[in-house]
Amino acid sequence: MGTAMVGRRWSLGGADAVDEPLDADSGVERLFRAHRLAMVRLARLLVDDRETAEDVVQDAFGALHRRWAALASDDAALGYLRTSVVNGSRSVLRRRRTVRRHPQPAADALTAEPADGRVLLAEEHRDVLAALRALPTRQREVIVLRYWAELPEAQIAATLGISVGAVKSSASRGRDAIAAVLNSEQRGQQ
Amino acid sequence: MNRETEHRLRAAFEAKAAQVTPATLSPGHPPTDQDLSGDQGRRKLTFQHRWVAPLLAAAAVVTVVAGGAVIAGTSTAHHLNPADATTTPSTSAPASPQTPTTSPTHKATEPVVHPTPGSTSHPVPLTSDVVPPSLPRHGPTVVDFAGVGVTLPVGWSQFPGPASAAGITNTWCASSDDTRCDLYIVRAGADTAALIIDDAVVGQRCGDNSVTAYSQRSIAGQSVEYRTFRAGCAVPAGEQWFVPTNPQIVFWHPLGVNDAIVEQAVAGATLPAALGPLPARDRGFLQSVTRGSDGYHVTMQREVDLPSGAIPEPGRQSTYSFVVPLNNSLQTSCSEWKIPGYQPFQHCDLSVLVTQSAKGAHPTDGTLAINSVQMVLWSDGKTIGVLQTRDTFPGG
Repeated sequence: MGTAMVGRRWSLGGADAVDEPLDADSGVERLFRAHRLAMVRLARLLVDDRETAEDVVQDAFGALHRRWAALASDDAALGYLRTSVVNGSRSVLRRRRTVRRHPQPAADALTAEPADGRVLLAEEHRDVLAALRALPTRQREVIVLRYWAELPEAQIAATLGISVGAVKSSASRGRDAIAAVLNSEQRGQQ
Repeated sequence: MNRETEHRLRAAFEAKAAQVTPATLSPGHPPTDQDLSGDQGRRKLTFQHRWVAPLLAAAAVVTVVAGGAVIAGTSTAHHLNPADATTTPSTSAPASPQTPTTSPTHKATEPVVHPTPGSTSHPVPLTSDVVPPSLPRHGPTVVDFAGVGVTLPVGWSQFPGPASAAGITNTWCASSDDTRCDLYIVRAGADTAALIIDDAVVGQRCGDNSVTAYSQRSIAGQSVEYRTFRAGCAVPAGEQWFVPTNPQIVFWHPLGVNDAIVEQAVAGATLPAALGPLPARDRGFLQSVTRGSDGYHVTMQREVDLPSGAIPEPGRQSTYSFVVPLNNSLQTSCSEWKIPGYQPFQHCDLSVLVTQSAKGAHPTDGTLAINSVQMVLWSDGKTIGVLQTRDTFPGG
């Protein structure tokens, strides 16, 4: 299996690289040990709370296990995993919108940032993340994959199943929207 | 680009992501066959779901993720699981991205509609870029056709293409939607007529000059001529990359769908090695014919159809030279220069043109200057096979 740098946060191969094909249990376990943390972090940036992020990632590894025989390489598996995490996160956000349209008494509590999370993040970061949460789902996904996962545009396009042009426009609009929020807050503070 | 915004984004992401550490992660184990075995309709999960939407069952979440996934039946050794009703059929990606085959599979689950030249029911929609399937089916789609390699996004399929307007049947298609061809790849071979470089190879042209843009590019180190064409007859506006040397390779893309994807894929394509530096086919005007010890030295100025109709093509050296060995039986129609003693279409060898070339730009004997007659050239890349006046090859 080859090694590849896919963005700066995932690298394959290295000391754990193996040449012989692995069965699904062994292969998924290896990727689970190597990439679960990064995937949970990715999902967390998309869905906001850690527990949901863990569930999304667990589902993604389950889906990976079922598709294992059809994936020819770690590159393919990692790409599949990443896309599954993004799609799973998107489903979560879609359901949250459904919940909010039909408000339940406990909905706010379920989706709110845990108190300890707010305390640990500096205010400057909270402003940015709040602006990120206000973005449409597609723009949010592109921004996260671009500025946290550091994926190239082509990789983002493949992950999200959109064109490179759509990636560029979503990234541009997302950046502009976040910048506008941050600038207006800055002016408000002056 | 707002550098400060990008810096703040990265910093915020780092800070947020850093809240998730091995210590703060819930204990978890990778799913195993045992976890996932059981009724296909209700997958058994041993890990706990703490779902924020209590209205929805956990199994529904799994179904959503799995329902979007596609089994990549990329080789005959893999079979779709008939019990897995949530999956969709595979596309025809090759067996492995690392080992592309020269006989890619064809997706047989749905009818494939190919646009035909002159068809009034052309299926190509001129809409914004199509969104490919949201989950990877296997990996990038790798086309390996007639020595041409193109890498396309996951979820694209490939299949034999229709015959081109030039009658070329060696055509391949790649598409994000099996109802149309987003990228045609055409290779002209020794058994086919050489393609005319400024014609739209795919589809039927209705006018003499439908070129709307032209530029020179490079693909895999080979010089390529790029053109866009306006829509005409039943063919939409399109863009074409043409490798003029032998073998001639043409990429054609109907504009309006997946433009950026196709452009990127073509720019990164690999090509078969050129057999030689000469174009497989060309037309133009002789500038000089001289004789050397190694053969006849011929200089020709290209003629191409451009948006402005300019001849020769601007911004590029439009003349090139080649040598025809002395023992080459190449002949041309010397009567075209009104050279006395030659009947219409009577052939002569290049030594006659050496004499004509020496008369300069304004011959005083009533004959025509050497650059007065349009020529057609055919070669295998290294050797000129035909150098004839254009009238002898109508439509050339």
